[in-house]
Amino acid sequence: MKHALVLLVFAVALTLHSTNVSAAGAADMTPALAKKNLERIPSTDPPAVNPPKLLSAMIGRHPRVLFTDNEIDDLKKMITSDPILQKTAEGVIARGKSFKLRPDLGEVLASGDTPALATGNGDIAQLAYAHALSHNAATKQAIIDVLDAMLKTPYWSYSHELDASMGAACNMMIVAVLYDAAYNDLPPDLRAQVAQKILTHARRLYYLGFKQLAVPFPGMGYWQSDPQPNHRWYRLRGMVSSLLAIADEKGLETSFLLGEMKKEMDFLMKWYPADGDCHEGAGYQVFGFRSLVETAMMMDRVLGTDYLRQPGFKNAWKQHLYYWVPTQNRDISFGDDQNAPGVYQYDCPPFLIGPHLTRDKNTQAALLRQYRSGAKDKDGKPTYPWTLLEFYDPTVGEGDYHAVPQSYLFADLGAASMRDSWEEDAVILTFKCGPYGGYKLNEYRQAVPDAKGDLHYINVAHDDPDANSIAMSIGGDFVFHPGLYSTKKMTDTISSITVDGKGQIMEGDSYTQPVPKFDMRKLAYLTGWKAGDKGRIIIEGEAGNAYRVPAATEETKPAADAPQKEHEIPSPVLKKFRRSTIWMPGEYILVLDDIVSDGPRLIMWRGSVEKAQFINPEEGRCQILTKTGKQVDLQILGNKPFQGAIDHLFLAGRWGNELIQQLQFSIKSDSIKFACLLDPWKKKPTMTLKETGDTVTLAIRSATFDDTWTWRGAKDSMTPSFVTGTRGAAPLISLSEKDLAPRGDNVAN
Amino acid sequence: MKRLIALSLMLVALPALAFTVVKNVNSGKPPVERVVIFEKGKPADHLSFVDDSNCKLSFAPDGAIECRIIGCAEIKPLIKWKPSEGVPAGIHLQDYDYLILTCRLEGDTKVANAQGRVTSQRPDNLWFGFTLFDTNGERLGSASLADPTPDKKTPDKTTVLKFPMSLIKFWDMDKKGEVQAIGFPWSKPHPNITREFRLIIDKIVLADDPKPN
Repeated sequence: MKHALVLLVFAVALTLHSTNVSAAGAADMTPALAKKNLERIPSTDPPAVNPPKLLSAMIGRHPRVLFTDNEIDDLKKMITSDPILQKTAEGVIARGKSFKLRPDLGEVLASGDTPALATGNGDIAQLAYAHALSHNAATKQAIIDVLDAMLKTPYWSYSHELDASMGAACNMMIVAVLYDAAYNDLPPDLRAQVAQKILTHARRLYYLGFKQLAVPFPGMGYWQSDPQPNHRWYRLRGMVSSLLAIADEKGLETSFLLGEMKKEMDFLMKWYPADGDCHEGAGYQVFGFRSLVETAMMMDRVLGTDYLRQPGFKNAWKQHLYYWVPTQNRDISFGDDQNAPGVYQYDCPPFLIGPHLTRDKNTQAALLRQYRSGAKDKDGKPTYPWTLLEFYDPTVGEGDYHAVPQSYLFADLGAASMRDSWEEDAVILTFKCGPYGGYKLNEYRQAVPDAKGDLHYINVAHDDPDANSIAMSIGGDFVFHPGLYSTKKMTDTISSITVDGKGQIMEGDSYTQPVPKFDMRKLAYLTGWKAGDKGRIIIEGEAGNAYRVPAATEETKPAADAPQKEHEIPSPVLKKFRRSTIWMPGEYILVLDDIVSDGPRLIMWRGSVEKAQFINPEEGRCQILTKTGKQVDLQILGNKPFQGAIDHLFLAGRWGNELIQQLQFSIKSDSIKFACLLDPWKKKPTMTLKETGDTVTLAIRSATFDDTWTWRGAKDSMTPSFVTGTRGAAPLISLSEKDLAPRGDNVAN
Repeated sequence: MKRLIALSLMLVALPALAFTVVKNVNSGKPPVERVVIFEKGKPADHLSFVDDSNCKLSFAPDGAIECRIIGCAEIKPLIKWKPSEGVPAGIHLQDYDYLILTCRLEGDTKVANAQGRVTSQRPDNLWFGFTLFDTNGERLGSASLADPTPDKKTPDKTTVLKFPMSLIKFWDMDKKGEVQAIGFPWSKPHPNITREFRLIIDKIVLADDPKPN
């Protein structure tokens, strides 16, 4: 999800992603309303208590926000010896020289989030680097023109969130970094006026946005309610860049606001997952990460803080890389990600901060390979996003991307990604069984009650009802489809199960809402994780608690006039939905499902595929077909006879729909065990299943292996099942009670 | 004794059990037509049109239904039907697997730029489709003409478009009612865009997948 166009629409979509904001989003700003908003801003700030101080070396010094002169000197040295930086710098300098101010720039940037994100944040901000690297007259004039235009623009976001929107924050950032970069070359009058204007907008964003004083919709709270919305990060970056640019200007009082933003950043860092992951999916991780890491870098540079030490910054590349499909530079991601072919653009290089911090050459190599693969124009020529200057550190060196481990467990998400190589023809399997929002966000929700003492509202709008789901790709083709940026989030579109036709709790909305008054960490979680020899892995999840929607029969449907019982959550209809997935790279994949319900129910196993065929139903044999003609054999067996269907599946996506197919295996029963064998590596294995008491034995044979798997159900809802494989007398990999999966960053097992 | 037998059965290893096929949309067999609402060249007295000057509905010389979409207004052309021979009363969408529409949308948009220069454009996906209505004018389902095509393009050549009912009902899953009309609504375009299209419909059919053997 790296296409610039897609990115632009993200911004628009994001403004609507809360139940609370829908009414506000439709409102138009008027002069009278703007005046009313501004009147709510106090004329002065409260006294600052122990405000953060600029480092002494930074007082009176510019540039200092996006970079310092020393950093530019170091960058220039690197540019001379690194071809990527060289080309990037050439492009940036050329852009600075060729920049022509459009007469309506201020109006355009203030018109909405999309132009501010794309034109401002994505393009104009690079003039700061162009000026620092070349100091040519044309670029200096371009910066003056932009600053002058923004001075003459009364509002930097003339929308329902007057001067407090994400777009306003982007406009604040570009003005701040241009002002700072060209500070020493600006006419004094202009410099003073711009500094005053920067402070004006910082105060507007703080009071109308962070303090939620905006009218007519005060307290919308869609980005202020929890620490992880990228909307919040963008606004913080706008504030921080602005305040750091002018903090030592005479006559401007910034210390209170700077102190508030320090508290804000401390708060965000407290609840930032150690993996730097994004529960909304890999696409939104790209969208949000740059604003947060830039904020950390700016504050560390100017205030001497050490936010970059937060482990999330050094680890954020993992979600970006492990959910990446090299062919066509697409994602294979959960959440709101269109998973379409994309382009590596200016929001992708920030993930290079990882190897910059860890000095890991192999990670650097993997991320540079991703860059080279995806940064191309429509004619296939390489492109050089300007943020490479900011984040790519060639002194790390470029190691061997093959050496990057091929699997990773995302403990905060309750998810894992496995692949057999980093090449374009890789087989990739992803598995997810975690709470809406991930663990860190839910820890926040549980730990910090809202004003009424209830669980804090958290924004999980872009999460899917996808516990115990798998997705799979070969090359650029999806075998089990990861889904689109769903405009209606349903479990029945996902490769998991449904019960009586219903999916997991809170399904059915365009934007998912948290389960009221319920600890969502109890809905779905990983139980087991085992990494063995030769890249073998067993990952297991439990999602029975997520199925709480009884079939709507005439008997169970409440009367239309029945009083609504607020926050009543139905009891789970499943006692167990345990999925154990065994990854045997180069050989086969085994998916074991152990499902127990509260009585006879229609349990349906669903595999969302581009196309499927039945080969031999009596032996459970099917074939999955992809658009480019790839074939993956599948064999599914159960401990009871069941029914099979291939049906159509419609995926409704924000940027396009897909009509694909779905393999459906169903039984009306109070329990079923399914064993599904996948053959992406063409080993032609066959599987038999025997059940003796509570133990299932699976024999998997091919020309090159003869494996036996013993599978026994878990003793309770938290303990892993017993799953062990042998090849002759040799053990393959085992999952036992002691192989507990981590559940979140801070949960010891 | 029965308990003992049951217990002994439990202890005996049970063989693997696979599945019986209940549905297969890839059987290779064509859908079975159950209700032909309209077919070019066949009597169409049971049909009536609701249109206006921006979306005039008529029968073409070859008997196809033609809708001329002209201008820049929102349009809501509607084809209604009454029960007749082969078209029963009380048609409910959930009783069928498909709506099959044989049609094409010819034409393009005229886009005027800021200088007043006009260019013809035809995006691949025109986001144009149909809506099905019940006898009270309530929406029962909808789809875009591009959705069932392999290339996601709105067809400009006559194409047999097979819409699975799960697609049509995706947004209206819980709405039930007797379908009685098909409309082709199109919202108002951007002010600098004018439409010049001709929707040609050869056939409208409700059909089922053949039953598995």
